[in-house]
Amino acid sequence: MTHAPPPDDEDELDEDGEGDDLAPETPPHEDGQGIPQDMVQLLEETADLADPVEVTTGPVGSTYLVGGRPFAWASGLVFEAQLGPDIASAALRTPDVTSSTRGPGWVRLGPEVIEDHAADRVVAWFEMARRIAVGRTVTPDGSRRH
Amino acid sequence: MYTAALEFLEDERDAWRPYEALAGLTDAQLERPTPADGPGMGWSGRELIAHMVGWMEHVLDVARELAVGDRSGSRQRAVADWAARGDGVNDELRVAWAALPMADVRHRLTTVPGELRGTLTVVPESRWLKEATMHAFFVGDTIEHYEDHLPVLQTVLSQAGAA
Repeated sequence: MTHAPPPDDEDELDEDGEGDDLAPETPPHEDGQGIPQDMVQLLEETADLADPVEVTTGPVGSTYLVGGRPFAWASGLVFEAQLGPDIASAALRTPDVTSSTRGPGWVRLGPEVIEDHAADRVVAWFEMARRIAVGRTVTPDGSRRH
Repeated sequence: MYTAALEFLEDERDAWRPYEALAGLTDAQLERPTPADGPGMGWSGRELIAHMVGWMEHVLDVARELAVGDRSGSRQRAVADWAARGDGVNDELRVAWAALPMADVRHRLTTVPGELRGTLTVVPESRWLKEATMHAFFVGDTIEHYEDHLPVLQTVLSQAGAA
């Protein structure tokens, strides 16, 4: 292969309650067509759920844990993740996102339809939360705690 | 010059959309090289995915770092690497992706673009859209890069009878 993205041109620019949301069987409108209208299913299809991630599924949704500590939760049209305070504050500025009652740094995404924009955030935020959670379990010498 | 993340994300999504057709090709169609003397430059669909998504993964790495800090070490290393090795970087990418199972190639094709967009929603605009060097990087390595390789994509899809 011979082509590559252009390298940066430094001078080019000079300006500056759980389980309460059940997924509908079909999307209410076309925006979500082709995308699972269930956060758990969406994560099953896209997320890295391999070890050390654990998944516990119950009547109030699926909880995703690392080292026994939850870092994400999903049920129907609702997804919650622990992103940490800085990222969470940015996430709160995007549509359909509110603070989660789970604690500081947690956000709750609850769109009416899981369309492209919502799905992208779920996939990305799950991975960010997973990485943060895995990082918490790593000791200073680089080994896992368990 | 983008001033709002949503505007960039919409344009990036539109620019990438033609490449989504690659997911509809069979493994055999993806493995078949295009003529070396044509606009496809001899690339196969699989090699095109490797190149496009491989670089997109770098953009994703940078976005992840900028979501949690002011600077991206990945970007700094990549700039230095490119300056030192040029197309050797692409050769390395091609070799690495050639070793991947096709299922992994397909998975990355379908998940990395969305993960990039979702990650960018939580990167402060001051660290990318409103920072000149990073603005150029994100536009250049996504939207402009996709446009650069449309002739290869069209050749791959035409060869497969999908365009």
